[in-house]
Amino acid sequence: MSRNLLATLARVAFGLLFVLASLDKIAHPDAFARIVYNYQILPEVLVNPLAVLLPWLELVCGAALTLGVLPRGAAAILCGLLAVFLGAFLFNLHRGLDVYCGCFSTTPARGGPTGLYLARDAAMLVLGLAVLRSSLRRGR
Amino acid sequence: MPALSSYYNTIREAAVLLLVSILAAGLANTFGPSRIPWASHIQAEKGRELAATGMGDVPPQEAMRIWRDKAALFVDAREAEFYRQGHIPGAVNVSIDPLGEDIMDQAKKLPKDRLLVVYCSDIACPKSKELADSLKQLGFGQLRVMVEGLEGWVKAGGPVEGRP
Repeated sequence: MSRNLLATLARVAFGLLFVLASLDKIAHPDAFARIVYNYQILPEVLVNPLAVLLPWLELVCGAALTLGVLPRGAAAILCGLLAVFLGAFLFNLHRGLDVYCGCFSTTPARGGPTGLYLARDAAMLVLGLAVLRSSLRRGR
Repeated sequence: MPALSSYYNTIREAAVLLLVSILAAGLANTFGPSRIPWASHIQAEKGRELAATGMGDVPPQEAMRIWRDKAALFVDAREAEFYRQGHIPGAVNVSIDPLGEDIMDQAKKLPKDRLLVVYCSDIACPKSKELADSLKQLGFGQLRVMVEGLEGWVKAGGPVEGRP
């Protein structure tokens, strides 16, 4: 019972994190497109389409996970996104590019130091994988 | 260990969510209040923004001449860690790090009677322009931005100091 409660709490929390993370980016696609552009990983033609799609993917999957609708697919997508963000961030760190992460807000002034991003992303990925695992186990 | 069908269902669920997201994003960017063009517009906008500030771009070749003649102080706008890893010899670090030292305090080490050439990592980084804007507001009159940044500098054969 308490285990189930914990799993539900983790699922709702993980989903809500992404709902929150998506809102500012949906409201300011132009600013988010600049952040995606600054990562300098995608070819320029993909920057804007992805900058429009990513926040909606976060919102839809975050909401689905929070509500418990299609939880396995939502958890899998969000874990995938986190892994890609983490990889992109590490890749840029490795090549000495100083990018703003644009994780929760499109305003660079609210950013934090690099180590903090990495630790937070990694912690979220661990939570996400736990949620994914419990959703798979419960798979109907 | 979850059954194989569980993985299959996961992929099916993910596909549904992806489709819903694509649909929502498409609708939002076609009819919503804050639309952006589907093709990237950022490169062109950056050029216009810099032109609007009145601060000229210094191409790396010209920057190297200025550097050799010691006609300007170079200002590195990146985070301190990147500055330590490598910067234009003689450049000072004034980083726009929200958790770092305030720009007003850092700017005290800069001369107002000398040309300042601000740069960051490369053509896509926004920090050099942001810093130049801030310095302009703090009363620094002689400002230029090396838009191509350290990457352009290195490509042009410019020297770098710091630990690799």
